[in-house]
Amino acid sequence: MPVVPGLDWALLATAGYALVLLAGAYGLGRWGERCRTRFWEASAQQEARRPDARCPVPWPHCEAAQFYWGMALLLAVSAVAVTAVVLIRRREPLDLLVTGLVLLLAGRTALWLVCALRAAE
Amino acid sequence: MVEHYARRALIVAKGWVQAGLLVMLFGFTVLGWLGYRARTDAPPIPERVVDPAGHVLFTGQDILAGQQVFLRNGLMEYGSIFGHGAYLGPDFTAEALRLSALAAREYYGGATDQALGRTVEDFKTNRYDPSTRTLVYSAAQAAALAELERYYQAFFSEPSTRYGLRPAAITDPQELRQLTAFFSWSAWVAAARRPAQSYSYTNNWPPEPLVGNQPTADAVVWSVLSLIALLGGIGLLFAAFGRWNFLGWHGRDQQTLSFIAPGDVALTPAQRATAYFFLVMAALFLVQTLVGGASQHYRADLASFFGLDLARVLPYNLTRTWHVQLAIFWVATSYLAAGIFLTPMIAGREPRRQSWLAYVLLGALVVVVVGSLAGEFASIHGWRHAWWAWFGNQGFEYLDLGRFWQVLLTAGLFAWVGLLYRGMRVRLHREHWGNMPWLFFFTALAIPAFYAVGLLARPEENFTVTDYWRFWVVHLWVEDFLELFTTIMVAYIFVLLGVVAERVALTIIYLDIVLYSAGGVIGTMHHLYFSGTPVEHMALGAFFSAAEVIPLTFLTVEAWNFLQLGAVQEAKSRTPFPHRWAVMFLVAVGFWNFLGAGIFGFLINLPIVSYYEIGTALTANHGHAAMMGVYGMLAVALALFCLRYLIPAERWSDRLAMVSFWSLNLGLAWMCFATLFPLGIVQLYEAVGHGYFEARSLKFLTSEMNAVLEWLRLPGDALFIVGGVLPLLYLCWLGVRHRVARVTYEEPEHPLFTEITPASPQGR
Repeated sequence: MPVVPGLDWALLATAGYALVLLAGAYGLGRWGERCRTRFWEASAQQEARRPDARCPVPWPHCEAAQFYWGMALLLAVSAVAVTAVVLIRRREPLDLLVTGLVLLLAGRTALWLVCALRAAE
Repeated sequence: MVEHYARRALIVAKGWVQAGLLVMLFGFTVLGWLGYRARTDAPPIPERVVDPAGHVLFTGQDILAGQQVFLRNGLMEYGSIFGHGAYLGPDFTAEALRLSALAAREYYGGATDQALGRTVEDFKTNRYDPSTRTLVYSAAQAAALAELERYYQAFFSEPSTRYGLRPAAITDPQELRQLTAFFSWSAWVAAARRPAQSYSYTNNWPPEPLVGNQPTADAVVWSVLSLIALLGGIGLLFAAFGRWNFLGWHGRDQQTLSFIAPGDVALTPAQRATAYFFLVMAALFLVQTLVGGASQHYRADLASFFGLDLARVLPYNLTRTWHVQLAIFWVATSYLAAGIFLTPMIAGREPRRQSWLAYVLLGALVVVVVGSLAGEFASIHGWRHAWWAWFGNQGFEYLDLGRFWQVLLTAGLFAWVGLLYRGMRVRLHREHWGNMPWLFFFTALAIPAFYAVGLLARPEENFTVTDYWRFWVVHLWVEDFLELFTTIMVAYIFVLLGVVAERVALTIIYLDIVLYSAGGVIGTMHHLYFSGTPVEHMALGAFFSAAEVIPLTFLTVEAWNFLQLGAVQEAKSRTPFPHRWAVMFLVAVGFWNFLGAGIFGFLINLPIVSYYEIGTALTANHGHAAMMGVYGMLAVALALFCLRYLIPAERWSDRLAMVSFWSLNLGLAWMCFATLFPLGIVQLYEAVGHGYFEARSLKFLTSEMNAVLEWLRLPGDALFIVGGVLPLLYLCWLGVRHRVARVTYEEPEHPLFTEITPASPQGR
């Protein structure tokens, strides 16, 4: 018996899993932002004390944040992939609505992460 | 002759050494006692199994011979026994139990409550008489045995490759009878009540309603208690960090230093020799991933490999055997090389001809790898010889290699320790045995010592006892001692780079020893909930292994401080920090340690979860995320650190390192999140909802939905191999092709940095 009338268990489970992945992506993305902010603060403090202006741009600030954003983007793409698999098999209006909402959210998250990654380059 | 110098005093408080020793002593005392109990309370192997009329059905010799048929043919790398092994084929314990119970119920009249009741009673009643060493099967069980023999004869004699095994894998009638005897015995062990207990020898595993197998009270209670241990432990850890600020990574703020550019660091001959080690490492890594891809393909499409009948040459059990063996080989090769590379930097000098010994060691390693893989190929393809266990396929998952190769590998590892000792002898004589050089040596020594314990797992021994020793290698060797050795190597690297003061690094090492050993040693038993060991293995294994998550959390938190150290030091240095990508791999280790070992590991660690989950894709999910994510990434980090000095600066490619880094991490994450984790959850749901036997059946694994999930893994695997392994292989080739020419036998006090302002006396 369907959990929600018109929607079967597999679709709901997939949508739920995709949402968990997106939550993970959001959390990692925020963590990446935090890394970057904290490192910038640390860098600014170092800058004030730095004895030599030729000192290279501090590292590994950017890459650490990029690592978390990259992994977060992968989670968002995974969410799209597992949802798309269900969408191929089920095309009832209610199914399309649920998977469409998940895909929209995934797309929004992915866009945010892509922008963050591009800004970091 | 060694000159006598005044020994340097211990540079940390004695309490650290005492705490480390006490925790180790406690852990190994308990583990030793559990080993004794595993032997004394192992399920008995009857001298004979008879029917009610006294006719012998099979003997204890048949059971042990069947176990050897199982191992020699690589069936533990196809399916599993007591939940342990591979994931394509069935769990043979669960399958034999289901088929026997169905046959017995049929014997009693079919699907009626009365027939079910009599079947449960038959299987639960323990009719083993220790005084005569005779086990009596009921008439229904005896009839079921005949059915079982027919089933396995048809299955293993299958002339095609449709099960993923080679055609007609086992056809000898006697071998088939012995193999069935082994499976039937394992089913009896799983159902019959342990003397004076209300549950079976396997703590009622597998879940099987046809014989009345359901979770025990211990499985539930110890799951709850281990959760409490985890929460309490993490709370205590954070409280300790809040209370004692000196714990954790701290830089050496009072110094200003400059990193020596890689091209300006002269290398010793043995250090230059490690370039070949890393090339071998990367080649083994490539082969490991290729056979891993082939193993995965069997799960997505059992019938053919893009039109080829691959199983005729490389059946699933062979590709998986090679996949897990090579995982150990390539990671170990990197650790051995990194040990050789660091030794002269620690010792300050290198004795003559050390490089020759390194080349001999590498040659021996290649012989063991090629010899053992060839032996496994021959054995799985039907090679029958009295020496099969020595030169062929010993067949234990992760200890598949023949005993001859196992002995040779152990000897090689001891020779490697000898090599390190030879290089460090003078330095060791000047140091207190609790300081870093000695810890480096002791943890290196622990690697062959604990690998050697695997020799106690013997194919002709009671499976419960062999599994106990096998997990000394799979868990204790890998998760405790390799982890400790690499922790010390990483700490030493940062001391050598001037990023961390030696005293801080040593404190971290002792803290790691205490934290890892507190949970990890006794926690080894979390693998043995259902292997026939008594209930205390489950209780202590669950409780202490929950504590293993605590150091993993600690490492993740500390990875953050670790990064900040590099940032602070680089900001002061006139030259760029040369190990950008090696450190990024260490960041990845922190991430995967928490996710793969911590979260995915704990997910399947509770006895009540493991009861339904063992041997499913969730185990593979944890295995890949932890083994590759932690040990694999560490191996690559160490390789990149060394290669940075082996490859001339103008030949080094940060781009290749970057591509490899991203591809390995994204590929692995895709593997987990697109396939293994969701598939594991679906499989767990099936195991709880319909039955463990059903969840492990080929019918379920190859169902349409699962096949789609399995195919979904392809992009991640392809990215991992093409984008991750190939660039690494090319970097390693550059290390051999363009090795730096400057050679030295004496190292300066600080080989990797120059000090601009003197350190404070405290070094912090």
